[in-house]
Amino acid sequence: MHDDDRQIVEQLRNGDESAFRAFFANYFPRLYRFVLRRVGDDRETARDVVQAALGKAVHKLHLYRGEASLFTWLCQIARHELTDERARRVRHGVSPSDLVAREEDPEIRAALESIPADSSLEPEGARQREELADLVHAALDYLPQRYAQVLELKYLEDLPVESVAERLGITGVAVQSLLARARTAFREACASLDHALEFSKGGEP
Amino acid sequence: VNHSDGKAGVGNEGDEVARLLRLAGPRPQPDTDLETMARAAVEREWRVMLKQRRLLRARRGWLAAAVIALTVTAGVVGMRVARNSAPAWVGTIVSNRGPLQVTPTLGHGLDSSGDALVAGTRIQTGNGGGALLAVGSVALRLAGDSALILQSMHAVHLLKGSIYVDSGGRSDSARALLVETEFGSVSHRGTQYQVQAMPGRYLFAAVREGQVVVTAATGVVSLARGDAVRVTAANEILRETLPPYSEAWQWVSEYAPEVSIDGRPLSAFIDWYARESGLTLRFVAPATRADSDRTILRGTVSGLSPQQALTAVLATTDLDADLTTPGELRIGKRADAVRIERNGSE
Repeated sequence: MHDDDRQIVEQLRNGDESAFRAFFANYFPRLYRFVLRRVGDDRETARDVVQAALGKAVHKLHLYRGEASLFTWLCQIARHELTDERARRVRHGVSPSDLVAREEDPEIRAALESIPADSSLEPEGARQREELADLVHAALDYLPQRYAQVLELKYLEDLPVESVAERLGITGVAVQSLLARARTAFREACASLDHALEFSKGGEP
Repeated sequence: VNHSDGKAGVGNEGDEVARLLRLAGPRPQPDTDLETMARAAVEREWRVMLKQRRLLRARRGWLAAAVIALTVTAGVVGMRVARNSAPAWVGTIVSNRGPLQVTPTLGHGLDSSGDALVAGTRIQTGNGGGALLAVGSVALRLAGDSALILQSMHAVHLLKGSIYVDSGGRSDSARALLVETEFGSVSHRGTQYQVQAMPGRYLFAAVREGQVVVTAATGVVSLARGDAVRVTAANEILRETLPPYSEAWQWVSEYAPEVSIDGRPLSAFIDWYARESGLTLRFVAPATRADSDRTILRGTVSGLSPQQALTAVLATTDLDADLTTPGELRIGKRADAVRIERNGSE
């Protein structure tokens, strides 16, 4: 059960202003990337879809039971909105995007949704950098945000531990501990994705 | 403001993770203005949900009381419920400066960020004030000493003063907005434009991006980027021009959605600045654009004007902005190591 997520939902339902600010700041960018990959990088459409999805989600908070993470639950609502958006495009004579995000592969989706409970990706080979980037970004989005944040600060921005600690408002020791857990979760996530990709490739003629 | 280009080395234990993260690059971030508008819309829905919850509890209380007392008829309950049903939310106050008169009031304190607005609301800014509103899916900036009535998510009546409309470059039905004035109405087809209404004198409309249509009693005029029109009290339609980077647009930047740069690529910030200033962006070399894509900004430019923010941000990079060509923002590598201070002086 995702007790932390249930607590966030309860705070939102009770009208907690700071909970709303944190909720939007945390989930809007992640959901935006989730949708952006599915609408051919059309930023305005992605905004519309996420806005609609979050707008509906806040009316359905009472239905969230905590069986899945709040992010997974929001993604499900966004998927419905994407379906509606594609239907709208067809009705208006606009071709729906033929870009199907890699994550929609059921294996990959399952792997993503099981994060951080799973299994090292070796990115050598013929995989396109763009596809890799999409998958790494998706994996980061599905990780607890604290994990994604510490990994990016340390390894993408190359900040020393002291600076990461200052940025996150925790001690250096806590940063090291957080980093260790985040690395493990990220490796497992990537391994799951790699496995899923290999599986889906194996199924191709 | 500081930045990291992500090129320095990493410790051994994180090599594998670091390599993957760097291969992937930073996660794309939503544009600040998109995020601001979406937040206003979601916040509006959240407040509607909260209000509905409160009403539901109240209804349950009323019904219980009716059953116990056996004096309240179903009709009375129905009337109360109908009278207290959720109002039609049409917009949200995203931010404001100075006093704001909002009529009717919503009862929980006004003129503050996040206040939801219903159809029929009249909003008036004071001298030197202004506000940023989300009306439907459109961003609307209201200048000082201006007044309007929100008619619906897709229509406002500008009584006096100036408004600036930004539909995010789109014209779908969700972003439709009709601006009515004393001397005509203005509708858009995906754009940034301003409308000025001077009671008893004229309607003025000017386009910064996209297209708008102005309908007056004596004709219909279509305007594109750089075009403007004035409709006088005598119903004369006078065509004018107003360059998108003219000083007449300067008031608009005072009420721009606050731009967040922390964790975002430098290129996204430069794109925002160019659009916000009506400038055409040119990078001196493709490699410069690529560099700005890779450079991740840290810090805040809160409280700075767009021009001050550009100066502050570029001062932390090896890029420089050339604004000497009218209407153009040219970004190139700084020729020398001149450091531009935050106040813009060298």
